[in-house]
Amino acid sequence: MRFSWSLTAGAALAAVVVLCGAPGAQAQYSDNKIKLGILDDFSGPYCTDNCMSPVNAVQIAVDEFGGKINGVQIEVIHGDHQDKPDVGVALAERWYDTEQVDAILDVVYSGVALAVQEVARQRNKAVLYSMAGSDALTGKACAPFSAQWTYDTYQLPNLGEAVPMLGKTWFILSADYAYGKALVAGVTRSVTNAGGTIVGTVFHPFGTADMSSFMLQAQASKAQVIALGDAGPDMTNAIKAANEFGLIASGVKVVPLSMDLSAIAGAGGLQATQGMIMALPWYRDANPPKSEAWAAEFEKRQGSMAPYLMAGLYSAVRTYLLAAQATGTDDPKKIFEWMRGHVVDDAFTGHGVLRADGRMVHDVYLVQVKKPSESTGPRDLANLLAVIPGDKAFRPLDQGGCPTVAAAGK
Amino acid sequence: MALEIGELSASAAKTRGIDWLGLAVGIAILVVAPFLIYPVFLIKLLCMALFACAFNLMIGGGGLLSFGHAAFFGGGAYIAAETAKNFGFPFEFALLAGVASATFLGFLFGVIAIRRQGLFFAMITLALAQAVYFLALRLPFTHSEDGIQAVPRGWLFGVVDLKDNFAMYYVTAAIFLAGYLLVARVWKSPFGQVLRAIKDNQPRMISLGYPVDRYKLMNFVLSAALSGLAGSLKAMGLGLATLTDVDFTTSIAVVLMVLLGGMGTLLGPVVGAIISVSMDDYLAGIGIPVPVVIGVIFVVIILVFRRGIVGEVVHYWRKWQARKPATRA
Repeated sequence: MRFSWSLTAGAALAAVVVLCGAPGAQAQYSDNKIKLGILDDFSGPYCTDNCMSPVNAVQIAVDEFGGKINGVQIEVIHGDHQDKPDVGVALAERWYDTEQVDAILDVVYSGVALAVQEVARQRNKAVLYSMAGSDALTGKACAPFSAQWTYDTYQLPNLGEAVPMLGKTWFILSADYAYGKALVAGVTRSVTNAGGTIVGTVFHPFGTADMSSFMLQAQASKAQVIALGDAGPDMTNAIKAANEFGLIASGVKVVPLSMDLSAIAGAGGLQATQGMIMALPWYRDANPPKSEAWAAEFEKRQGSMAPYLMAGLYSAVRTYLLAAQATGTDDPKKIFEWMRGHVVDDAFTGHGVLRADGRMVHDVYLVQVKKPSESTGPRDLANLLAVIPGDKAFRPLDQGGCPTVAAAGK
Repeated sequence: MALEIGELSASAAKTRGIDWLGLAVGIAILVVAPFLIYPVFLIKLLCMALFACAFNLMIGGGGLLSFGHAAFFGGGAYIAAETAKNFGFPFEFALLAGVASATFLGFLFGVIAIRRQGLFFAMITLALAQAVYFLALRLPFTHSEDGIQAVPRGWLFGVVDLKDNFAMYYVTAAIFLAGYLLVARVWKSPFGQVLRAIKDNQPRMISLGYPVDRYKLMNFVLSAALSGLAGSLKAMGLGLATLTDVDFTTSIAVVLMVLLGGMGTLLGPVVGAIISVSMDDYLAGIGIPVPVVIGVIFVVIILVFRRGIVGEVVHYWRKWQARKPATRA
């Protein structure tokens, strides 16, 4: 009885396979869908612009494929890790193990990202980072199917040839946590390499509203340049304090390392930020006309200016979906092989390359914020000073300490 | 009177021994649960429940409200994670190291804070816990907000491979049960009675000749050790120890769990932990701001069930019991 059942089932299956014929690749997508999970802070201090910008950025990429790849539905879900690594891990494990999520995306806050990296590694699953900036993700903690797309804590403070343009003596004001310390190490390296000197460093606690005592220390150091190694509201507060104490008016240059052009409005506009120099992973003219068209689409959906973090997220998802389309599978091994073998050419960059350690290498744009009188509109905010080629902007492959890369090199 | 039974669960008041039926039901639930619910989630839940039980021992038993218990929980987690990952300690010794460090911290906190009561006690524990938080932020081995990741679970007694989620779950469940029974035992012991008497009327206990401070310190250290065990177990189970574990929000969360479930009842903290942790995890996926939902639920529960959920059940159960003889007569 059982035998005849299985025989019938087998025959039916064979018939189905024969009937389906050529697009047999369909059977390669596990659970017959491609499911992406955005794991971010949707309620706390790391959520910006009503928290939904990552969802919009990912949706633009999905919509470009019409929501389907080779007839298979693309599904996007999102979850709030509340900046708690244990919540992030529990959610990531549930997504991978029981909810058929193929790739986890973005993961703001490196504490959670590093935890999710371990979850992905244990299960050989894919994870694509844009907002996660810890350079350990492509260094000591690298994983085979993880990619860090937009920036990292090595690249942001890597100002290169801008250092002599800015000045010889530097003061660093930074936030007292791992991210801030990584940026301080980076600035120190890039300034001393260019022949400048660090005359002082001060750390403030995370979430400082009153920056006056720190700004006074910076002022007393008589440094020509003040680098800000904090982020978010802390950085905005520091910029405002620098203005209130007349530092910017007196000719001191302020370099906010984590600044994006989209944050200028919140930091006091061009009046407060004019002359500031930053190394941006992306801006509207990064790869015209694609980059401009994408920025316009994002702004239409989100209602605010497109940040580089979201452009990077879009690009990561788009590349992943292209790979899934081309290889006809959601097997992370095949997808990452494809992604590493193809140049990224989209709204984010014209010639990005995904390296073996998971670092996506692309050009970085050194820009200076315009004077209010030079700006022609709300989107015309900065002048391009120089393009730093990707291989100079990012940490060289052999210096990260990624174990799989080191093993391959031997 | 010192032995006011209103502070005890109904079963504990009736029989001084172990409630065998309740225990059997509890064990059955623990055994079946991982087949119905995701085991890693249950591991986290049991760790938080054990933490809440440890906290309850202090506030329900001794009447001491501490706002610094995250220091023991997180301290234990960091030490267990560090010893397991970088010193190569096996599972059991990593747990022991975590417990030992929390016990030491508890003793230190206790010696400083125990002479004060009420708000002053709470503020001293909060201040000391913030000092521990600062250490966790600054010490190199904790890696600041990145935390200690990829902690290997290792093997239990070198025999059972804990990489398997089910194995890890059952080990966690066994440790949780042992911790719970220990709290229950302390609760019903003469030591526990003295603590409740101190809570009710400290001057009288002093006049009766009890070394009140020593009893309270002992209780505090015991609670800290159990919190450290919960933290170490969480670090091993989830494979990470981070700033969240020592953050004051964790201290607040455990207070809420105990209030939610029912302060001074044995089962209350467990129920509170189940509700609180489930909300944290399951609301994470629905796309509404989690803190708002949790806040509203907490306010409603605390307004409607002022004795906590288990406390309220016990209260009405007892009311009903008291009315029965009256209707018969």
